[in-house]
Amino acid sequence: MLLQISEPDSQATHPAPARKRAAGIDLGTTHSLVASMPQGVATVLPDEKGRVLLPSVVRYDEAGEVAVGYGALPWLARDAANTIASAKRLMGRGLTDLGDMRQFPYQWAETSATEAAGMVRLKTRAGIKNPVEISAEILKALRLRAEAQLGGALEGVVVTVPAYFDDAQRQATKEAARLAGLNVLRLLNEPTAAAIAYGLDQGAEGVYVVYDLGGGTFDVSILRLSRGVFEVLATHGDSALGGDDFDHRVFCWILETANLPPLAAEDVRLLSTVARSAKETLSQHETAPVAAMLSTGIRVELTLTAEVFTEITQHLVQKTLTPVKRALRDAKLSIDDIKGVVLVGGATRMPQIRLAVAGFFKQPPLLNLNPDEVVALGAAIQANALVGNRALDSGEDWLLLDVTPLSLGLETMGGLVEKIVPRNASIPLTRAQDFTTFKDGQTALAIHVVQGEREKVSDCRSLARFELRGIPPMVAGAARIRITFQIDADGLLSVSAREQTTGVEASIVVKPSYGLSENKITRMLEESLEHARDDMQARALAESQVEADQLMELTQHALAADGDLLNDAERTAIDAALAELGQRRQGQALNALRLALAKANKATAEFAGRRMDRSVQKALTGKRVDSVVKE
Amino acid sequence: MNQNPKPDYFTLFNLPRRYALDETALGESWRALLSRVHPDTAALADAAVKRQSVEDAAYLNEAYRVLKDPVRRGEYLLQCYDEASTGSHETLPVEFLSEQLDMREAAEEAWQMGDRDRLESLHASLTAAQQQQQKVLAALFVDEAPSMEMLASARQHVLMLQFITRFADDLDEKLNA
Repeated sequence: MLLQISEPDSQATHPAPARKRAAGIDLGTTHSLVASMPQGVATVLPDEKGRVLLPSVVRYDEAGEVAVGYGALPWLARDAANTIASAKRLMGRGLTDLGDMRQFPYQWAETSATEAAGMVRLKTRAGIKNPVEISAEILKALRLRAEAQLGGALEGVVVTVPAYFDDAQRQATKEAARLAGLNVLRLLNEPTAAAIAYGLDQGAEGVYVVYDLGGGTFDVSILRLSRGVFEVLATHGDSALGGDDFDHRVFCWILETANLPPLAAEDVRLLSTVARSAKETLSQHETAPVAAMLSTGIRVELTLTAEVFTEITQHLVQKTLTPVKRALRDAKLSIDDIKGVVLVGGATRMPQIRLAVAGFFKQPPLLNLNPDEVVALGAAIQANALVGNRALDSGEDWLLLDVTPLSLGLETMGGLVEKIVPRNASIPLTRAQDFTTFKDGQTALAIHVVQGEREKVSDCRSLARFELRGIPPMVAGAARIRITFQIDADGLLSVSAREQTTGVEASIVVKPSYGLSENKITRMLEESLEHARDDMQARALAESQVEADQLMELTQHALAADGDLLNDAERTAIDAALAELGQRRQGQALNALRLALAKANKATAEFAGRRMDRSVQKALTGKRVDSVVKE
Repeated sequence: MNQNPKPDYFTLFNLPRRYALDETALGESWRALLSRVHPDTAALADAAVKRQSVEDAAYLNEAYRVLKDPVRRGEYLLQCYDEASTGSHETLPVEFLSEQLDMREAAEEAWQMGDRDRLESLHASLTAAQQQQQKVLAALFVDEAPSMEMLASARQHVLMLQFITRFADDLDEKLNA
């Protein structure tokens, strides 16, 4: 197929088509926006009052209407259960993923196994809503805004996601866009979108770092920009670290400093809002007033200085530098290789962030583009190209090459992960690996797909489970089962399994199974390094346990078939060795298990030899010697 | 899955089938081909065309990954000339194995002692050894098909390169931990 594709210029003979309506949408944790290229120049689209940012807040009101954005904002404190402000943090997440539920002022509904695959659901006065439906309301509002300004229905959109979003979060985002009546041309990683906007705007060449601190997520991507190619070399991040965490630090500081008792939900919301505005003030000023009148009549009046703010958020700033270092390492680059650092996300307005980034990279960050708008602008440029408008604009061609953020693998024996796709592999991609059956006559294979960097399945995120059935009975190890991972250009995974000799097949588009908490995901990488030693121990133990199981099973099987080859003393010795092995198998002591394995191997060696002789005798009966040799 | 026969990786990128590699030409060829088959070129196409473009781009990415990597490139060349060679049990010269063992012991000792300089210098000598193996492979895999003797030798050197690379990566991991 590859060699039969048409030459690019064969399309040039067709008359130029009319411009199609396309838009880029930045669906953010705190606010969202839409951009387009109606006249060939990327521009953000404001609402009828000229406001570009749409607060990512959705309210289900008493009249049965849905208010989105500024209309919902005033109700955050007063109608907390029906006014949802952080749907992005809930996308593709189960209740067990979210950690401390008290941080959310919502009423949770039972999750449903069938609907939205175990994602959290909220009780509102408009009924039970899941984060996909809530996000769809925001996207719908942006769709209407774009259609009104562009004069008709959209051909397609590009929706951005944090680069560090996993498969479940990406699936949920795409679903929300479909629900909002949008044709999703592509899910685009936020830092990559920013790089397009920045690179094309500034004609940049060289290696750039995009440092993207949003309301609820942190991403860092390293890209090489050269002659119209945007190649992502590595990406890293933390899907639960953002500007909101800085607000929360200020909120906690207020509680401590003013010595406040436990608060009502509306006061939590009120003080959160006050904390955020203090943070924003400190981006311009040295001090910020903190004043509020609580529902209990308590009056809060404090002053937050830039110095204190920097101090109480220092660990958060440091926390962003760990993924930066990892990304540099994965890209095999040093700080000296970096030509420029682009800041993205409103949270990068904080002076302590700019200082930390400048200090780390030994150069001031680039601030040419509005950090709130640059992602939506990049998405609009990409959407414009994908619908085929690029030929109409004089702009040059470019190519976008992205990577997958987290390693993907399968559960193998002993609860270990076999990595199939390493993190930071270029997408789209297809990777296949062959597996086989463990037991004689095994007719089904359970396949468990996981995402993460650790060696044990229990430390990674469980993405999906499915079964390959109908494998014809064969001896252990004879079946050849090829498992293929495919990741498309949106970063979405599908997995298929096929028994090669019979052609039996099974496949799945990965639907999340919510095995692991959100915070754990972001800790996985750190821990995979910190625990490299533990993992090696654990792996060695698990492998020895598997070996022990196999030896015990094989020997039992052999004793049943050929026990007559042994005298009583030999039989007793083997039984004793197996008993000890069985006991050690249950424990956690690696060396004792290894010793027992060695003993059992030794005790059964003679028996195995005699069985071999017997089977050779059997095999030779009725066959001429040369035919045996040929086989 | 697409069952069409796929061109071999060297033909695909219009490169001579040999071990020595012009990395710049490989990168340019990869980008040029990808810009024609990437799913971004098929965003408005029907599902079948989209699927094909994902497969084609994935095939290109895999080919690029294999040729770019010195070990995988060696394995791939062996496969090209001798399908049976994959998974064969080669023996390595005793001198090589004992030298590797000594270095591993030295590395383990240096790691226990926290002797970073020693680790760095071991890493440097491994890098030199990698380059040495690559030079040998470059001489074995030239344009014409290698003789049986050359293939046998190449199999050994690919295996040695795997050995050294694995060790070098382990050390790298330790140095960066």
